[in-house]
Amino acid sequence: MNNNAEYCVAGTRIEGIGVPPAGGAAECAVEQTQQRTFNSTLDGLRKIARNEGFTTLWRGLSPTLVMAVPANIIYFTGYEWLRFNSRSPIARTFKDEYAPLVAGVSARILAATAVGPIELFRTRLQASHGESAAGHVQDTFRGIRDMVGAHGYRSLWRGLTLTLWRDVPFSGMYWWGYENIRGKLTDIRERHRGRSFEADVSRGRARRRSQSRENHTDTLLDSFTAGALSGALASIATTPFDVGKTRTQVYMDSAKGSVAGGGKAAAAAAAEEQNMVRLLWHILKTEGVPGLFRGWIPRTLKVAPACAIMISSYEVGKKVFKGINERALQEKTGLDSGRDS
Amino acid sequence: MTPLAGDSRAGGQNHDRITHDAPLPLPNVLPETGGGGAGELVETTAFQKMLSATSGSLLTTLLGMCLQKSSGVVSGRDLLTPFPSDTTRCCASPLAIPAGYANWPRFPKASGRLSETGLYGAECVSTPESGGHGVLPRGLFHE
Repeated sequence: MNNNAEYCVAGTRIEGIGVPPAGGAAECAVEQTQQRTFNSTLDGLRKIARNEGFTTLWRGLSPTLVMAVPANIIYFTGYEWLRFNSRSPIARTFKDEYAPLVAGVSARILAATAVGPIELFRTRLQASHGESAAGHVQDTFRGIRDMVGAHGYRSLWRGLTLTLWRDVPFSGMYWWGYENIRGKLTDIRERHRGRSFEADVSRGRARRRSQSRENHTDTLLDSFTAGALSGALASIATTPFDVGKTRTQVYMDSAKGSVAGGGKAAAAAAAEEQNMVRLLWHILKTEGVPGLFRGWIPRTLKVAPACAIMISSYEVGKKVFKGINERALQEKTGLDSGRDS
Repeated sequence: MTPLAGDSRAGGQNHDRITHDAPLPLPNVLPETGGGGAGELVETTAFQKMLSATSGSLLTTLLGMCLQKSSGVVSGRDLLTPFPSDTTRCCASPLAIPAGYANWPRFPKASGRLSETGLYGAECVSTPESGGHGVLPRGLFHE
């Protein structure tokens, strides 16, 4: 279909342009309503792709990628370096039990701080008005320049505190859980093969060595499972921070309008102006524990698969490159030995 | 010899390293990957790790956007009363934009089509720093 005609062609094609016949208006309205009525996610996907084009499903991808890809690169490679590199202060200071937590927290802080201005730009770009893409970009840059002029360069990282409140605890728990769960899966796999690790402190090294010798399928399965489980648990545990972040954002957005007078509304409005801990305490007092964990199911359903896909892609990607490097080294070694002989 | 227990500092990128001068901690274990030659080192470079992270990020973002857009449209389907430019296709009187949503953020190529109502789920929330206007209904807040 991909019908881009300005007018709904209800009658014959000869009459397609212009005012449609009166009798066709009702049919046209029915068709339009059916096109806009989505019965399920799959139905929505199908109708959007059919009516507006398959690529429409990814409209708005560019600004998202501009932010998401650098953030994940910094986050994952930063975690690797902080966790495992011999020059990392975390690897030198903390034991294997706590190093993932500290490295995850540090990597998240670095990544969020680095991409904060990009996220600000992306959000403003999406909210800007303009007649063309270039107009939107110019409008956005102008707005940011004015904001920096009025509030200083620190305004580029506006909203970072809220983001860190939610993401830092999540990252710490996620990496700690991921390494533990993956280690357990490695132990199970090795026991299944009739092997066992020596019970000493170098268990972490033994696990990593075993993981480096896994095939691609085992790596994919183990990392996907560990990523999903750890992501789910971390997501559930940090839901209160997500609730607090969302409420603060909504309050700040709606605070520009009039504030309802008196009583509960004023008290609720005041709570969002406080820091995160006080806000969460207020929610706990007024709404109880269910209030702190509102929306945990959809959030977990979104976060867990995303974490699983991301970490398993990363681990399998590393293994593929490791195999390429090994083969290249073997060829080089073979050439060298052939030359020597 | 492998550093004794207690030296938890060793590791890191070394976990990808195969060194034949270190005894294997696992008896009767044969290396599953080929690697001959004394003292050979196999590492994944930082650039290769970045590529791996990029591929994972792309895959996650593409899948996430696709599902978020559709679920966002489904969640807000009660609000998808046609915008004026759509209703003039076949109806005499354009319907008003629902109150409170007149200033929803729209993408640069907005032309009144469904996918451009701004209901991209998590991607379209107007946060305080955006100077944004309008509040999306529940279920569409940014993660």
